Formats: sequence, structure tokens, C-alpha cells
Amino acid sequence: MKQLFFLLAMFLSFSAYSQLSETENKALDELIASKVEIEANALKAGVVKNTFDAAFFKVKTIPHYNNNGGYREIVLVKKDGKMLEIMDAETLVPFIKSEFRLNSQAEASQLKDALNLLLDSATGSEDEIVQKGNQWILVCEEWFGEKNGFVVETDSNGKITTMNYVSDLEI
Amino acid sequence: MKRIYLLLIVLACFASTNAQKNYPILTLEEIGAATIVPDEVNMIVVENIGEVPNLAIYDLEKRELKQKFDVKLPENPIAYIAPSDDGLLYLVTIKRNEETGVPMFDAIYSFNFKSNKLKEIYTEEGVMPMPSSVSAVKSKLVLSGRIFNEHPQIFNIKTKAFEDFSKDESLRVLCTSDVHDSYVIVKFTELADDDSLPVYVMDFKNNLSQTVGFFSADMVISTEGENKLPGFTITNPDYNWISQAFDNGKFPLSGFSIASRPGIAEKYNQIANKFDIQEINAANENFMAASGKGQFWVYNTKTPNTIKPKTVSDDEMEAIHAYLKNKIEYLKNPIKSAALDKVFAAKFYSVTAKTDLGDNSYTESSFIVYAQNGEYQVLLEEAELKSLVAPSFKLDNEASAASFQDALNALYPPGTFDVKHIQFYKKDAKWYFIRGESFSKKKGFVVSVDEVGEIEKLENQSEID
Repeated sequence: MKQLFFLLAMFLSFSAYSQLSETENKALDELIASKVEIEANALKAGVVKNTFDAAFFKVKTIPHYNNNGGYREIVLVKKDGKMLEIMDAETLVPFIKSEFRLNSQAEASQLKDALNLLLDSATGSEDEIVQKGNQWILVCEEWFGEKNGFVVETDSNGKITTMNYVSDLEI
Repeated sequence: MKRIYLLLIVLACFASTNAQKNYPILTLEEIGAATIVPDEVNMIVVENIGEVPNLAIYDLEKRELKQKFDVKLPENPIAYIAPSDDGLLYLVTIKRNEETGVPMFDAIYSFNFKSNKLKEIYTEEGVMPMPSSVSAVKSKLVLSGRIFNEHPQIFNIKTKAFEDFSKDESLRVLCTSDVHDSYVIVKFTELADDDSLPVYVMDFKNNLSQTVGFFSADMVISTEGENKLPGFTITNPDYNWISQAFDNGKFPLSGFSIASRPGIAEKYNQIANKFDIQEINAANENFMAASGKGQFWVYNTKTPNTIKPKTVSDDEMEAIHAYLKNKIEYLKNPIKSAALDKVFAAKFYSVTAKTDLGDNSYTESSFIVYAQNGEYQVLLEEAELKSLVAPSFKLDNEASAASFQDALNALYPPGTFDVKHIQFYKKDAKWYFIRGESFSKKKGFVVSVDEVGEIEKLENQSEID
């Protein structure tokens, strides 16, 4: 199925391109480039630097080809000179500082604050943190009695092994 | 988050489209209560760095830390800092109601910069709601609650006790000014049908002035009509300072309360990272401080900092561009139609920005580009089409109107549910091109023509009678 989509996309792309002259194509590319603003800022908050061992960037793509004022914001992390998009909590696990341990409420709170800066799903206003053995539950939002947030699992030393967003948390 | 979007929409109604961007002059972290001293360059903050919080003064002109104090601060959190004429700093702490968890007023402390000494001067034994702002006027602290519902609580610094604000129950304090030793007053019994009130000024000896102007509490937010913010009309020029005192008189501000302070709303709109702001924490005539997501930013609002602080290296920026180029594809197609060639003296292109969101999901956003005389431009408003009409084209009969409709169909292909509504008709000197219906209201283009069919005006209307 994926191959079919790929072939279809290739065909559409080729047929679209073939309908434009080189001059038109170049002029359109230049116009589009001038109408898309890219704003990038390094995330230098202490709580991120103290939790993760990587350089993060908040990147905003602001299209000026319409008047609706919309934009898209993503968080990228630099790895081997290339950028990767932070899509979910799991993506962040390899970037946690090797010396960071999750053994106390203060450390859980620090992790939750750092996630708040990196993930949209962590921006809720709830501040409940629950420990269940090697599992820490970071509640971010409550919606009609349903609690949503992160379940973080550690090894016996407090080193984080998994981190996932869970809807309707069981506390 | 929804509230922030709503606020942005509200403020966008008042924003200038070409507003100059104002970047922070100072970025701090872990800041609690903060105040910017009126008429000064000093900002006083509670820093929550390290084991225990501390007080610090920043010189905003020099953009640097001026002095840090190691005095042990109260255990309960400091919610407000009020600098006073007596050279002392007054700190108001809050505590949580043990049963309800609601924050309550706790105590007042004085802090002496010179001796680095903190002194508890009042502790609330009863139950008093947390004030929404605290300011100093002469030898009194004004603890304000809901402006239009109650008198403020007045704490006399000399007697170290609370005292009555006034025997007149109708008085309400809009704001205070330490510089002018005054309360700005309205009487709620004088509220007119148009939501306006006469404004008075009361000095610290409770002498009330004559009317110095009017305050309108009316707020109108509309996408079609005229927008209106609350504000003052000062009739006595000696009191022109009132608007600024009102703007800078109550912090923190968030949500709609930002829009209700016109001067603050204007400054907010210029801020480069306004989408990150959750709260405006302090301001004076020249500076403003705001916070969001653990960060605290200070802006020079008198002389905006238009230079973006560089936090990303050229190599990193190149890598970011490479990533985005891989994720966003622009599909470009010429829009071809005989009707378009007949009606317009321009070539049109459809461009679709297709963004890869991962997991085989995409988002698409399309727009139209036109080219005329070798110049390529985005068609932002439908009304721009008027300037592209071919000089030879006249909208003067059914056949030319049909061509115009065909051209519109090529540019804006009707959706499945709109096809049945597509039609055109003429009434007086206007041609109506119906493009669809929404809630039983016809929508489409209204084209005004002169006696020979020359197009004079082209409008896109969401409601056509």
C-alpha cells in the first residue's frame, strides 16, 4: 500500500512539475520561501538542561500566504548534527542525562516541568505526582474526571527506562 | 490553552498588522513575585533558585543583576511586593486555607534594603481573601479585591493596622498612584446606561476631587463591527496620568484582564514571543515583565528591543531548514481555464503546502498565486481580483457573467454541498455570484459595475440578502 502511495505521489509530483516552466517553478519557489517565516529558538531553560543531555530547539513555521494567523510549532533535538522531531515522551528517553535519577518528588517535579517545555501533551495545569514502586505517574490534566499524563518507569536505581503518555490514568 | 487562543483572537482585533516586534532585554528563570518600581529602572523579584528563595534587584537599564539579598524570607510564599515612599519594601504573603485549599491573605513584612533586615509587621489571624493586587499610597498599603464589588483593604503602615477606606459605600477604587499620592475613584451608583462612570481622584486624606473625566467599562469584541476596549476620557488635563496609572496599577494580569488595560494590551501586542506568555507580572512607564512555562522575560516598552537574541547557530539553523524542507512539500499547479484567460489578465497557480506529521498523517493548506507582468504574488484577499481583471473584459450581459462564474469556479472549485447553490443574477448595478450557503444565508461575490460593465468593486460577502 505504501509503495502505491509513493508511486502515486511521484506521479502527481512529476505531472504537476511538468505543467510548469522552469521560470514559473523557480518564481513560485522564491515566492513561497519569502512567505514562510521560520523562527527558531534554543530551549535553554535550566530545568531542561538539568534533565536532558541534548540541545533542543523550538521551531515555529509561520505561513504568510494566508491571513488566518495560524502557525505550526515543533520541538527539535540535535543528534549527530541532524535534527529530530520530538513527537512523544518515548522519543525523549535516550536524551535523559545519564546521571539523572528519579527517586524523589522533587526529581519527578523537575522531570514534569521539563516535559512541560518540550511536549504539548504535558502542558496541563494539574500538578499531581504519584509513586507506585518503580513507577511514577505525572498527572498533567483532568478532563471530566479522567486523568491524563505520563507513566514513567525506572530501574531499581531510579534510572528511567520508559516514559509514555497515558489517557485515563489508573492511580 | 483555549483561554490563551481566545485572548490572542481578542487582542488580534486591536493589533496593528505591522506591529514592531519587541524582544526581551532580560530572560530569567524561577522567578516568583516581581515588581518594577514606578519611574525607576529597578525591578525587584523573589528568586526561587537554590535551596531557599531570595530577594534580588535587577537594573533594567543595564540589563543586569544589581544586588542580591541573603535575608531569610518568610516560609509562606510572597505574592506581592510593594515599594513605598518610606524607602522600605513591603512583602505580602499568602497561605492556603487548610480545608478548601484556597489561597488566603497571610501576613505583611517590611524589608529594609540598607540593613538587609526583614520584619513581620502584621499577621492575619482570621480569614481574609487573597488580594488580587497590592500597591502603596503614601503610608498606606492598598490590598485590592474585585474592583467593582467592594472597598479595598487599607493597611496603615504607621499604625500597623487595617482601617476603613471610606464611609461612602458607593466608592470604588479603579487604581492608585503612589507618585501622585492618590486613589482614582468611581461611584458605582453613578453607572450610566452606556456603562460609563464619572471619575474622581481622592488624596490620602480622603479629600475627593471634582469630576476629572469618565471611565467606560464597555468592551465590544466583534469580527464585523467596531471593537471597543475599556478606557478613560480625561476632561481635566492635570489628571492625564490616570490612564497610565490604571494600566500599571494591577498585576498579575492574564486572559481578558490584559485586554481590559489598553496600554498593556498595546505593549503586549508588540512582544515577539507573546504566544509564550501566560501572565504579565509587572510594568511601569518604560518596562514590562511577563512569564510563562517557568521563564520570565523583561521588555523595554519605551524603546523596543528589535534585535532578536541569537540562540541558534548558523549550522543549527541550516540543519533546521533541512529538516523542514524534508517535511513540507509544496505542490504547485497552474490553474487552467478558458474563462480565466478571458476574464483576467493574469496567470493563476494553486499551491498546496503538505506537511508530514509522521505516522503517515499529513496536513494540507492551499493558497492561490497569480502572476502578472512577471511578478508573482499570493492572492490574500478575493477583492484583489479586481485589479487583475482584463481591460477588455466587461461584465455587461448574461454571457459575460457566465464566463465570470466559470472563472470563479476555476479559482474556487465549489464543494459537494455548494454545487447546487452556484448561480448568478443582477440587481441594479450589482452582479451577485452565489458560491454557497451557510445557515440558510447565501454567500458569495458581489460585483459592482458601471454603465458599460466595467468592474468598480468586488467583494466577498458571507451574507447576501
